[in-house]
Amino acid sequence: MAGSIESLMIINKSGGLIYHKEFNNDANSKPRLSSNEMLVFAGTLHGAYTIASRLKPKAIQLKNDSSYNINANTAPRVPYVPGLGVNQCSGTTFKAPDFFSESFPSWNKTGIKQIETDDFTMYCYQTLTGVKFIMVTLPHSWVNGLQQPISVADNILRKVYCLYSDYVMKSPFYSLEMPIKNDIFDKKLKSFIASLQRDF
Amino acid sequence: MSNPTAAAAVSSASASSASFNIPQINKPLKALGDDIWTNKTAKINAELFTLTYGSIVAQLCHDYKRDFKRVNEKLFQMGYNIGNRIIEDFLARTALPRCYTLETMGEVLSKVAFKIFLNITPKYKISNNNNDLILTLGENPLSDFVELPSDAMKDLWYSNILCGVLKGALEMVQLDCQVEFLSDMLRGDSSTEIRIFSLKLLKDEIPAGED
Repeated sequence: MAGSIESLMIINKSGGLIYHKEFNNDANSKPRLSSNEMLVFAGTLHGAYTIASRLKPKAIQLKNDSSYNINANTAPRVPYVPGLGVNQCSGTTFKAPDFFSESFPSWNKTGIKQIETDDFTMYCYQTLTGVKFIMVTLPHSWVNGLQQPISVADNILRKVYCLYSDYVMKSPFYSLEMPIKNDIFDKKLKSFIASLQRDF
Repeated sequence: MSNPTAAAAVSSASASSASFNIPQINKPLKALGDDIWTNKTAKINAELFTLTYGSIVAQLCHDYKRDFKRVNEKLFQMGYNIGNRIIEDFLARTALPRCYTLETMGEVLSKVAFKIFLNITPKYKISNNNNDLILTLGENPLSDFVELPSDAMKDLWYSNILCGVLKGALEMVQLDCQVEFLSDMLRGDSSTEIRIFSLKLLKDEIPAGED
């Protein structure tokens, strides 16, 4: 169930860690990484992401014209995965039952989308403004019959982005680019993660 | 606002018109804007919104002792701060890709952005040798019920907050520009026009991974 999502991070456009939450830890167990290590990790990931985006093979560079038309539908699209955290919109400016209900283009075309080890999988979703949403889960091979784990991850992370845009960006006490300390966002995010019905 | 349109159901039928190799699943932008406005966005009362904005402007005029140039600047600054943040809401809602031409930018601003935040679709036109984008607001929910006092007619741009919002939002998607009001029906002009000019895409600041 939702238990397979281990942690969630938000990294701002300059590579600073502004949010980090672990979901499966007991209250009294030690965090896996110290907060300093987390900051280093976020910065390193940001750098690796930036450099990795330039590894695109020559053949693909020649084939694709980067300036695609917004209507021409050449952008890779993420299919909409129904049933993920539905009815979590109450109280938000989004109208129930779901935050969105259609496939959407991916903004992350050459950056890192997924890092896989035997022990965990990490997914990365980057917005047009440069904010990164990172999610660490159990290895996806553990999850029965999950098709296209990246699409599922993108759907979940876009919904986290929706919550972020509603509760963090609209908080008058939040200054841009700074660490997020926001109880309502915490609460909403927790109930959203808990509501994910599908195993992931 | 007070009269939400219900065109989304009709227009989605024509979604699969263009013939590309990849199946066309994009909606045209108008249908996208209408759909998000009708089905995905919580609404507030339009009169409350108009009156709230009106009292902000009135208070600023009072605070700045009717120095309307400073009121314009303050409204712009407030809008700028709103734009910096509202862009995330816009992107989370629409997930639209980057616009590479002024034409698509005008279309997105008018049919999607203004639509989902204010339920209006301004007309847009491109002028000055493909350098400027001019948005013509047929109706403006900010200025419903408003009449400017005679001393404010000349200098006050009543809805200047909109310019700030546009500037702030575009800047967050790495588009540097200037935004100003050309005319306003409140001042007795025949139309309300906003001009976006000196557009520059800040290529170095585009986040890696996008193209």
